[in-house]
Amino acid sequence: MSTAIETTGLCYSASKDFSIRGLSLKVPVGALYGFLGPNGCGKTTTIRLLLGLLRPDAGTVRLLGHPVPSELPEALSKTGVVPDRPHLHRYLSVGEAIAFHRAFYSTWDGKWAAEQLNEFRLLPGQKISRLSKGESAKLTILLALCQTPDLLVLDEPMDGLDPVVRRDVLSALLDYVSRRGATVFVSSHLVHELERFCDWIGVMDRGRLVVELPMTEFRNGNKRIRFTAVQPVEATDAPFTLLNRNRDAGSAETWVVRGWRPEMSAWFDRPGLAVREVTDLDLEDGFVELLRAFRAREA
Amino acid sequence: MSRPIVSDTIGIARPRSGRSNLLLLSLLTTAAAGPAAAQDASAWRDSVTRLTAEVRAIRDSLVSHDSTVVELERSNGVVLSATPQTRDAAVRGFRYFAEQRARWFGPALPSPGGFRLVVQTSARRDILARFGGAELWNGSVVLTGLPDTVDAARAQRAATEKDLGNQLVTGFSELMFPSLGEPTMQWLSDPPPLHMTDRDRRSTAMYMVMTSTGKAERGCVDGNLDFCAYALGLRAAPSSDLTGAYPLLVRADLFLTALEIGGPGGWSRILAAHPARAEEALLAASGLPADSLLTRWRDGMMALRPNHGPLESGAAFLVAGWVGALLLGALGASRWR
Amino acid sequence: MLKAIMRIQWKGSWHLVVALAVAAFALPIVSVRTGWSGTPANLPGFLTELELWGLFYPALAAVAAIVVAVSIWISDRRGHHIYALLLPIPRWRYVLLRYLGGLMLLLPIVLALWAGAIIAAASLDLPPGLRTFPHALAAKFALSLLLLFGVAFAVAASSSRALGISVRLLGLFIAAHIAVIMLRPGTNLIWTVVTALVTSPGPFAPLGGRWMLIDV
Repeated sequence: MSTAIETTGLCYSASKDFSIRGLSLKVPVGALYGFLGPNGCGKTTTIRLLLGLLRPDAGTVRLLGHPVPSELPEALSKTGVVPDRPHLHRYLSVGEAIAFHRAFYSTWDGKWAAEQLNEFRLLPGQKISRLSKGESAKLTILLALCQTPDLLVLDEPMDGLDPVVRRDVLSALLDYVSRRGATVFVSSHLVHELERFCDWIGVMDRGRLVVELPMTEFRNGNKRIRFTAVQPVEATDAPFTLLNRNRDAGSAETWVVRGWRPEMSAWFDRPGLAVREVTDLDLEDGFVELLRAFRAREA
Repeated sequence: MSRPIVSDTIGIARPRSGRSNLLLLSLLTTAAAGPAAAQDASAWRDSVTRLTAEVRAIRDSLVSHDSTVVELERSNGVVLSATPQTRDAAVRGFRYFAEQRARWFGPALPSPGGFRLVVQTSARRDILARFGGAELWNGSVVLTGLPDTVDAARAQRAATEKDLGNQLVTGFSELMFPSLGEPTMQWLSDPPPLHMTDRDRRSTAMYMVMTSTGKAERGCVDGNLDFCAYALGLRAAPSSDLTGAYPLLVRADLFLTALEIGGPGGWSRILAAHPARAEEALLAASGLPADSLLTRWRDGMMALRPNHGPLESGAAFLVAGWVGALLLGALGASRWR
Repeated sequence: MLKAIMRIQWKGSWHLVVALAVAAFALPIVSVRTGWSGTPANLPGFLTELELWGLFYPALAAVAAIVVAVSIWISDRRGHHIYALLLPIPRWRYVLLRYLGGLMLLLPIVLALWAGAIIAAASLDLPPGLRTFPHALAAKFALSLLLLFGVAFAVAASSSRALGISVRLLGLFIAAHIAVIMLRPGTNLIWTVVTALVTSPGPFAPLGGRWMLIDV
């Protein structure tokens, strides 16, 4: 098994205005996969399809090699999930919620759970209904991690959390991943959050997968190139993908390109063209340019 | 005097004219005045009530329907006629009547002069009637005993098909029972409620027997037949401190039980025996000595008591089946498939 | 797993179960004490009164069934069933665990009624001819509760979509009933259906009949 999550041609019609069309994801085993996309692009719907909470209209889903939904319980027994909204029984205390959760997982790590409880400064007697948002998030991630899953699916786990809690949660997550080598599939619309620890990235927009590639490739392949040209230049035969172009004052022009490699600078070695500057795009800029180009193409 | 609406030889309906009805009305009024004067107050009131009902029935006939009454069926000296709109209901009611008549009275008729029962059917027109059972139309159903020579009709009213059948049975039994003779009728007081189903009558009687609190009644439940005979008004008290008497419905149930045990011809046997006491009538009807009859009747009462209390047999299986179905339904609700 | 489910269900609804158990215990005792004068002076009246009190047994069963079924599912519904659906067990098994857990919550209520019925029956000095049925009454109550709980559980477990479809079907049925009444007076669809439901082998037949702790 080389992929932890694999979907092929996934389609789901959520409403008249929104649908997921032909989604094919491949999340390699052991990857820290960031699932990026603007609000409302279908990230949560995709996660629900992956976890069997929704039935796709077409396409297939495999989770840790198990087809969904026919082998869903087997897949879920090795998958820790942090949903996008609070879902725990609010009338229970922290200790009771942990005891209840533990009953369903034979792989539960009680020792680590006790340590993590201490680490997160959660008290077993605290009522879930009285937990703050941060404490709630910590409990949810604790439950997901202590079942020692091979795959973690996190839907906007840091959304609305303060920086301290965010750091605590992230460090617990990375600690777990480093110890267990688990695959993490984390969705977010906060680009910087994923930039720090993801090694794979998938970008989604309007129900479609825009791009899926290793983070290094994404980061290194997105460049801003400033050059001067006597005459307007066409990029039809370029070995990279032109995402955006801006004609500056005079003969200066700025291109945003994807799939850049250093040897491609040779393409600009032609009369009347002079490359002034090639700079890296940070993840956010790359993400924005990618979406802009995708939407222009769609339009 | 009015002419009969049914001829025992021709068997075809002859419409009664409005004029003859008016004549009948005046005759009825005149005839009722004489005996009424000699009666005590309550009997006199009863007569007036009955007369009023009969006058109303005949007035209704005059106003609307009688001119269209046609013969529908006849059997064993009894003829059924009805207005066209009530025809189907009348035929069904008559079948029920014929069944009950054969069961309790055999071919016997109330008197050699015949009789006439008029049941005025009325339709309910309010919205609530739409939610009820099968309703009747306004009309008349006439049950005539041949030869049809009587002057006065007994009038009843019915609003549903079930009412109609019951009114025919009740009206007929009221005409029949006085022929049993004074001692038996005194004991029974009223004709037994033949309109009740056997199950209802028997369980009501059983309930009365089991919850009666007098010494004689309780002794009867415990199996003392002398106490039973006393509580049922058949014999004198075996001891002076004995109290308690069963309600009249219990006597009626005993009488009908005797007729049932005796089988066909029970009614004729009673009439032939000219009983001087109720016990003799029961003997004639059932063919059993009083103690044997009382034993069988009492055993029947005891057997009617519910065996399992409030729990019906088979309830557990029924519940298990339905709970299984409901659980499958819950599992089938989309999220849990 | 069942233990874990039972523990959280008890935690979520113990106060309701205790209140219902107290009511179940008191019902038979109150029903006989209010009508019984100590003498067999008016047995038919006493039994009639007891029969009227009998209406409270199915009512109590209905309340208990609805309260327990709702309390079982309310938390899952609030979280859109997400937590439950993410547990690593087949979904039918989760529903079954919830159902069995619910039955365990109903058990104290049945036992309380049984105990109350035995005490109430033993407290009377009845004349011959009348008998007491504490066990049969408790069994009838248990079966009715089981049945009503099945219905309430199925409804409470349903998704909003399934509930919506049920409500629409009910509305259609009522509309059909009204149409039939207008076109064919005397045909009563609702009455026909209700009769089929409450008479054997209809699902609610065990609720019918007389709920008599004391009878002939």
